[in-house]
Amino acid sequence: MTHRTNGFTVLVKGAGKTFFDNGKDSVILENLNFGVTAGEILAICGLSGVGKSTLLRLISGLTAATSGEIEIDGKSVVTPPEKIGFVTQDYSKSLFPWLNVARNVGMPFKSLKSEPLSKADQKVRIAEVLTEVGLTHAANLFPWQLSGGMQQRVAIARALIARPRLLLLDEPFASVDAHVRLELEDLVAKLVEEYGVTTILVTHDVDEAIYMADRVIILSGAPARIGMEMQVGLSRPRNQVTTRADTKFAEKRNQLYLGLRK
Amino acid sequence: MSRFVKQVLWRAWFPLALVVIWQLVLRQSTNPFFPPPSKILSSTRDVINVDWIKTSFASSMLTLSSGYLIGCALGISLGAMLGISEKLQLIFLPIINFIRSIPSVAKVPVVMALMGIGTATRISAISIAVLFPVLLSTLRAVAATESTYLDAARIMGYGRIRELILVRLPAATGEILAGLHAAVQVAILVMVVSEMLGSGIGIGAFIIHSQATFMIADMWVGILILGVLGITLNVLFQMTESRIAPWYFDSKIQS
Repeated sequence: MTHRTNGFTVLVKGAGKTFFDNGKDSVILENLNFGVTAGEILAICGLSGVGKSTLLRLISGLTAATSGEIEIDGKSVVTPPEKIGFVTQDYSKSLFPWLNVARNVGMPFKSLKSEPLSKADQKVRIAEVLTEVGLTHAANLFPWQLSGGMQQRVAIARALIARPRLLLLDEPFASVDAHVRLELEDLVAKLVEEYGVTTILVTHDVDEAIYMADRVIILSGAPARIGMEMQVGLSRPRNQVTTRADTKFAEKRNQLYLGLRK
Repeated sequence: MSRFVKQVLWRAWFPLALVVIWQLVLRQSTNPFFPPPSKILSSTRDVINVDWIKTSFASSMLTLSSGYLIGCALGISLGAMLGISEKLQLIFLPIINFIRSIPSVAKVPVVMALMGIGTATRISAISIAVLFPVLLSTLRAVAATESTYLDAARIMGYGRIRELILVRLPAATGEILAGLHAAVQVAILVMVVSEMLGSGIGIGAFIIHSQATFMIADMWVGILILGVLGITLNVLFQMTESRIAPWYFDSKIQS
């Protein structure tokens, strides 16, 4: 993936997560080991409740691992590092209803972590990223005035505004209808190429994992471990019709389904 | 007929009918304590003159607004501080809950004992009464911010203060406004009581004075003015609330 050179490397070293509830420990993740190279698009796939989202939270630094360690760009993760973007399934609960679209998208500028940009430059950058996600006309609307798909575009714009070097996507297309879903997949694929950002996509949808990723990891079992790992190897740019019709696509899908059931 | 006119008529006919019945029943009454509306109306014309507005009404409005604003400002800031610190909650919540559970009217004599009788006393009494409900509604809302908002804040790299000012407080706007709204009634109540307790100034004092000097129609004028004041503030609040935080107050908005 030499063309995507702007990304962080990620290293998951023996990471595990144990939750304590109802008086007993429940081990969700145990001794996970894998890496993501700079600029790679990795999909983490698995059945509902297996711990995919928890794993993504560990990587992001939102939740602390109970064992092992996560390294981003060679540095151990304690709190969310600079230059990461995060998009969740729950767009309606992660965008701020008291701010219009442009202000929502500009919120990362309010942090010390993003490089200081003058007010005028911030405006330019906000307009630019809104154009990229196709929301120029919606800058002054509020999130609750938009459809689900458009709200998710706002969330994507906010994640990209400060030019992240690691993009974490937690079921980002799961709450929108099938047609919008395909649109958003292509939008994200295109933007990830342009930004050259390392991307980790969590999804329960095998087809989506293959369509989006360079490599797919299957999480299975309880506690979850890596049940399968697969290079996708389909050429880019991909296309919703031709890529999915490719016999290689069908092959990969069959392999992954077998891996999921193991 | 437009929808608006229809709505106004639907709301107005019953209160108007009550006034008419009141007038019909009491028009020949010689009972000095329950004058008919016509008599109250003529008293209103006598009572509400420039002088009265300059003294009683202005004094009440000044105490009410300053007491209310000070109480709200303190309540929101203290509530926000406590909302983000469990330690502060552990230390101060028991005392806050204790003081809050004393009826706000019963606190007025305490303030008077400490500060004497005067405008400052009345303002303080109102502030104290407003402080507690506002503090607690702010505290609850600030402490219970959606975890998804907080995740977003942490990803963006906000520290505690930024998180409070840019995320927790705005997210709490709806609940805080609801608390401010509820505090209006308490503020009016304490204003009247503190004026009645020997200040000699304000609408409350006017009511008590009229009653003591058998100017019963004047007393009713004072009471009706309080009613109009309460309902006006209520309507103003309802109108602004849904403008400031539509995502919270407009049930048609899903967020």
